[in-house]
Amino acid sequence: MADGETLLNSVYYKSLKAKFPELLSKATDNQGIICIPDSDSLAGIVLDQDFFETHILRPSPYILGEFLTANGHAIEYDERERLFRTKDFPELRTVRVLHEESCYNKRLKPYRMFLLQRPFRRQASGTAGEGNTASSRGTGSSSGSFAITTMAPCFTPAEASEALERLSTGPNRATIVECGDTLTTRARKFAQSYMFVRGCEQHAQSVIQGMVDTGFQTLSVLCPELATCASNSKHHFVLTSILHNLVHGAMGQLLFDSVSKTMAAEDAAMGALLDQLAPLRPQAFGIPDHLVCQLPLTVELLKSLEGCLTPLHKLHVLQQVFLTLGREIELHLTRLNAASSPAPSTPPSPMPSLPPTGPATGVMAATGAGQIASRPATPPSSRGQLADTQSDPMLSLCRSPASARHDPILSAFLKGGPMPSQTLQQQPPPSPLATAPEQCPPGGGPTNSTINSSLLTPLVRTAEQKRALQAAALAQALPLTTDDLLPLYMWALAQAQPPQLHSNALWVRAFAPMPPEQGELAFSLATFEASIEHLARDGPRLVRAALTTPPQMSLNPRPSASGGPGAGSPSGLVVLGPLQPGPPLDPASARVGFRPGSEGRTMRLTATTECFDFAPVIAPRAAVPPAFAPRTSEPLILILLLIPVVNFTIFMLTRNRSTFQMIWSSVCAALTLLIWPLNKLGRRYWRNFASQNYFDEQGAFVAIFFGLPMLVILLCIMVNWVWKMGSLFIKVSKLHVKKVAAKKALEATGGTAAGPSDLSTSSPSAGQKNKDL
Amino acid sequence: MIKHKIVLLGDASVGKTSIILRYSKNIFVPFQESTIGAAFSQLNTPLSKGGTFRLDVWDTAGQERYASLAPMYYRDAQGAIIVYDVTSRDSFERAREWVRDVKANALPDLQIWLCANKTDLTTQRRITTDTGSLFAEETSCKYAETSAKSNVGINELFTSIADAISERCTPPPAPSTTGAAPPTINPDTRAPPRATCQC
Repeated sequence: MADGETLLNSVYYKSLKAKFPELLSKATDNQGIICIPDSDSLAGIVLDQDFFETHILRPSPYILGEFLTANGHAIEYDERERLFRTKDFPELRTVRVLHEESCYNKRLKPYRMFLLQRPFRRQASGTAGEGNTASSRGTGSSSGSFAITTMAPCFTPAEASEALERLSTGPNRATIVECGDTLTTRARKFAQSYMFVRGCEQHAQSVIQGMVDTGFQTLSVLCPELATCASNSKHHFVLTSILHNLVHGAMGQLLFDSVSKTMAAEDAAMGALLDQLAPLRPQAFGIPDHLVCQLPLTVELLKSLEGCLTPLHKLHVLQQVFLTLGREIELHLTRLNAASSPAPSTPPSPMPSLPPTGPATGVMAATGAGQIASRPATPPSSRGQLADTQSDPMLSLCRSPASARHDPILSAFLKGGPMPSQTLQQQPPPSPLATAPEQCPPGGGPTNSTINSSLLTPLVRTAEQKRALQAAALAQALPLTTDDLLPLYMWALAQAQPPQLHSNALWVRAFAPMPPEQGELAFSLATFEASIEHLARDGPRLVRAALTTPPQMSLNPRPSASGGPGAGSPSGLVVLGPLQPGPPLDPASARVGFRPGSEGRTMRLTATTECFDFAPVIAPRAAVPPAFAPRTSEPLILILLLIPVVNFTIFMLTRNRSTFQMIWSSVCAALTLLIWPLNKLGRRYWRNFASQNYFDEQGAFVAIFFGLPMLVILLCIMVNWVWKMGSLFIKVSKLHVKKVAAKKALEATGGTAAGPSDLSTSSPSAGQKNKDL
Repeated sequence: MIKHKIVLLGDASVGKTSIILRYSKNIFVPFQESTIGAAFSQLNTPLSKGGTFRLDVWDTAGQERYASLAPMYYRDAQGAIIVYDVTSRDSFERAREWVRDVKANALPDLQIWLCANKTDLTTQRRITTDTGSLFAEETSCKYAETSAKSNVGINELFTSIADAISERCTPPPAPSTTGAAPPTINPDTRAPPRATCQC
């Protein structure tokens, strides 16, 4: 299927090149379109000249959007849908374009290659092709099962419905369509009433999985052959992807909105953080110096993440990001290496004459070719690879990232390429394994010093420094490790600034179906999540370290590494203004034509990606106090300081009104008890009323600025009460003593008759006293 | 979800990457699918009883500042290789921490291989075999001594991992890729691919 299909292992292309080179060269000279049917779809087809001619197209001179094959048949092309429709073959076929690649012929004129899902027609004289069997059986289900074997997993709702359309050819058509409709209606209903609760995503997962399973069962009952076909895990995944995308397409953005609502605070914080991180030097993220380069395609892909509609599509894009990042880094390293090794036989002079795509991608493609040709032997030197590049400009094409997955080229670099072999076998003896293929930042010996000096003077690299860097890269020449990958990924994220990162990660993790035996997808998702996690945790510190470090530090030959953001990079302390020239991604150095979204699996690199030089803009920023330092000018702080004062005043004014004080103190006590939820609220909504997030997780700030004064006031009220009660008690006892004394005196002096009158004279005074109290 | 996921854990500069590189050089796969350096590799490991077994090996970041991210990587792994450097006591201490962390956070049936690397540096050796194997025994890990530089014990390590994990997943998975499958994968294709194994 299309997964493994590249030009270099395409049966069709290889035989075309081998058997009919003149046909190929004629087509390329005329800037025709070369269509390459997928290898899997060619089973049982004899590749003869007629068949090849059918797949070489030129634009029709008469009708726009129509093409003529080399043997004179007309074929219609739908540019938007990327579909070919055959017109005058016995069987009318709709053929999907899987990939589109643009190449350059010997005269450096562009021509196009289309990777087709299947040929335009089956062999006229050929043995039983798949079409034969399908038509001889003539049942809808069999054509359905045929369709599933030729389908790739789809990633957008549009693709999914199209795929379902293709499945539903035959007598069961109406039922299959109805099944799809039921599914979408159910999904829509579910999404309308759904509210995402963090940590409880299992429910939604199970509901969606239930819908997919029901759909699956319905389909398998309708076409049993589809079910047998789908017992293959790959086809099963294709079918699952179709159903999943249908479901998610029906739910639209409702589900994602629900997720993003929950994660709004985190997303906003991350957005602000990325804003601050964007102008930082790549080294500040901990990227080793020899890996610093532009990552235009990766950044473009990350930006396109926003446009993806379904979790599966996002997951797919993440995988592409991951692979593209690897490719760009490999490319960068190869170029560094190629430039550092003198190549007398093939000087790089022909390079500039190539079209923009040439130098960047040509190296890769041809390197792969050379590599594969000499596969079991020892890998050729990088010089040999360069020689290959020049010999076959045909191969200087840029492959779409979708096809990069099984690209032998990249594996050629890494697997047997010069880099690992040098590190493992030609490593100079003095440094044992520790400095050999290890992931630590540049370490050991002379390379270390050169790298350090180049780090510390972040001016435009002199030729000398460049050479030193290249030497370091050669000596290092390590394949990418996770320790390098993470900072690179984070830097790419900071450049791309995709919105709603946290929601995306959560959404994809919760709702994307993981295809079996596809560890790569899982790994790319894990890398994405890990980068976000680390950014969220470590980003503020990076920003702070960068902002608080005076720019002079960058020129200091020995900056203290203490407090630096990354243990591995002393240069992390250095901060620069915006990269020069212009925006972070300079359009002059890398122009990327990229169509995101559903049709976005074609990507063309229209200019070479230049080695990234950081211009020395030392833009001293206004000294910003470190984060979390309370500022007295902040209204929040003022209010918090004012609260105890007002509180105390109220307390003093109302100290004799016991009822008011009782209510007042219960309010204060309630507020003090609510300090934890208040802190949580503050953590979530601090942006609405403060310039920085004072609300730490432990709640220390709220406790000190809010809780403590409240407690003091409460204590005062309590003391006041106790004191009052005490004094009341004293007064009452005093009165009591007086009363008793008066009684005794009465008993002693007069008879019982005079008693009451005496008492009555004394009681008003007692009442008076009581009133006083 | 993912079939046979192995994570490589260990301090920076203990030789995680070189183990992987050495091994992927040993078993030569013409079209290795994944190519992101040593960060993620899919290895077709030969089993001791014949046939091969596919392992997805995830490299993790060894630097201290990424330590908190490790759980995201070993979350649903079936096996973990915890590497330490026999010449560094610190790395051994870190390995002990890793073992504890992984046992606390990962799947319950995760199998750990404690791997003592750089055994070729006999003169600078700080951690003896006894210390390592005793600790492995205590924590019911498997113990392996390797030297990526002189290619000692690497094949045995991966074969034992493949053996252990394939045993646990009784029906061995059939390769699903039909077209561009490398010739090295040849386990019996009759087994249902959507196997019933728990992992």
